[in-house]
Amino acid sequence: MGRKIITKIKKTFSTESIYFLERAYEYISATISILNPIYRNMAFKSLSTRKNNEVQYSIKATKIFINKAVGWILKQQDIQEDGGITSWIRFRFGKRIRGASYPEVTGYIIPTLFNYAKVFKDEDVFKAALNAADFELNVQHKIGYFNAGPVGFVPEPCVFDSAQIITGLVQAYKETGESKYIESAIKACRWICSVQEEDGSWGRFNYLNMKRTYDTKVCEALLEAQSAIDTNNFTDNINSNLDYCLINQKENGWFYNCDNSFERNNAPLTHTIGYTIQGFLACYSMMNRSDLLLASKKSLMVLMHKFELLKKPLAGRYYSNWKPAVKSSCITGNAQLSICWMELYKIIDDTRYLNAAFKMNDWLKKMQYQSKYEEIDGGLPGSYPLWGDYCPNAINSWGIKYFIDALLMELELKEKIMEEIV
Amino acid sequence: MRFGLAVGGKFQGHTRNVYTSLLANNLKPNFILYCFPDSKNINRYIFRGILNRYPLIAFFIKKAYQITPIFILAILYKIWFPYIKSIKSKVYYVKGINSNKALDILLNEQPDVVIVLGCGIVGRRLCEIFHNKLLNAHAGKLPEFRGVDNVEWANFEGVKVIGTIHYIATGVDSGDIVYEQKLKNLENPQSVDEMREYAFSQVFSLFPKALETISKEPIIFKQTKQRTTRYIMHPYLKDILKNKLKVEQ
Repeated sequence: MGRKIITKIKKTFSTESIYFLERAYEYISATISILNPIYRNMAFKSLSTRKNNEVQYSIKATKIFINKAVGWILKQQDIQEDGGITSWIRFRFGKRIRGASYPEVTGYIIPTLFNYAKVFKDEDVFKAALNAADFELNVQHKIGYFNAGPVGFVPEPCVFDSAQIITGLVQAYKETGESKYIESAIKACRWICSVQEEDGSWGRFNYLNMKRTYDTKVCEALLEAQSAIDTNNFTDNINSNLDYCLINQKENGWFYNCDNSFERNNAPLTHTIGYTIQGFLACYSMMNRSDLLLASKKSLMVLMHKFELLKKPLAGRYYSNWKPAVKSSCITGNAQLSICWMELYKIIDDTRYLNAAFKMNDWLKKMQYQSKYEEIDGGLPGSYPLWGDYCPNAINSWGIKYFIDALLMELELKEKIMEEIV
Repeated sequence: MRFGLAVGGKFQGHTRNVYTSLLANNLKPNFILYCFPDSKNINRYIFRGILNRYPLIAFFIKKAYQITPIFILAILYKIWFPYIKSIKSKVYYVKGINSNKALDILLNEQPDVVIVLGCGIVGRRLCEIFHNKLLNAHAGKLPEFRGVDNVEWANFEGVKVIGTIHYIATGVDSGDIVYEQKLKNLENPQSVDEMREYAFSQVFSLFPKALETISKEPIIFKQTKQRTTRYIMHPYLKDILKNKLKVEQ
């Protein structure tokens, strides 16, 4: 019923009017949500971080930030009875709404949890990662695909979501050696390859049936799966998609067809730009295709200079001339780009990227909620400010996943550099 | 050769050293353009960013500063920094190097070269009107080390610090290079700041040599357009550099 009403509204109004209505809805919702003490706490934090206060950057302090974020993820997994991880906590007109388990997000949080368990030698987190992997096995369709969106959402197969889950399953296989995980992953990979278009993209069975450049993440998943079983069955599929994605890059590093919507495809999210570059870099490190490194460097350099020159976080969306399309920041995208800068530093040893990544991580640390309310303690908002363009008035679990990844990588690099000097 | 000196700040430290080193080499500037910060930058240069916390006070201070005549600022300046009275060159006072008055003065004086020190960012208009006439000192090899904190960056990456005198262009440190020289390393530096100060004192002493080069045979090295700008070093990397210095000692 609700979907029918939304479809009717979308047909009646122009795209711009709908966007305006959506924003108005969020602002009204945010204003009323002030009555909720938890939301109030989040909103004031969003305002207070505008002050130029110092943040702890030591290794010890970084560990505390990571522990808090992982604590938030584990709490969300405990709440869900199926072993999956909550998609988001939203505030609508003062009411707190907790999303259902999200197979895609749970899937790519698995490697993060394994990584954390390894660094912090935490058995409980290791078990939590395995629980999440078992949840994925339960929600997989017998043909091999996984559905889009959270549990209970429209049951439609989705290539991108399936690929994100594959990364988790492959990691679970690597950690435990249990064949059920890799069998499930390979089944999903075969399905993904079977539905690939002739031009190398994935249109059918993808979110809104759109061909997207951020499907580089699909290539990354296929590569990981095939390297785990030591074959090269999917190499042709991977190469053809990477070629398709490279064609979609402008000379200035910006990407066409990079947003997860039709109407805002002219100004993709930093989150989806981050996905695209992450995919390129991961594929480069496994395949050594230099064109992928060049493509990533082109975009990352522009964004690094933007971030450093303006001394403020990157905008939530960018037009094709790299002009910001919104005033708010997408926290998830900023965390992803920080990871990309650190990855690029590892590859080309250019300290400018490391410097930018450390500064970005400091800003992300400022965003983390340190609250007496359990629901938000350790979490990060979807946008800055809280009522911004991306995931407004919400804490999204994938943003926290990337925050943990960024800080774990920072930790690794800081310890490595210190060791080298001493 | 007719040349001027455009300075900002207190006319102490490096600025004064440049002036005295020029005089020592029989190079007396034909004029000095003293630039008070423009009203946009007074918070940064005079109040060190404190006014960010008090936007209303900042607004009134900016307005008051805007309407204060320059001659009053000049009198106050002479009272606070009496050294300026002993300068024998002609001194002009302006609010900001990018102001219309500064442009008029420079057009009237028709200098061959102007040494620019501590005046903030020079705007596009001035860079284009006085193309290859505005000189700047930079502690870092160009084009590899553009931007800020380059003494730190060079030491962090284990590269020799090179002092460069270059013309000011619209991009950050992107103008043509006039003169460059390897800088001596400070033996047993106690801190990163000390090392930085030592490097800067050497860079500023390169101006007489640069002027000599320009007057004799103006060899100019064109720079590439690569984006090599470096930014403020993260405090953790500065800590690493401190440790590196300790280990080297």
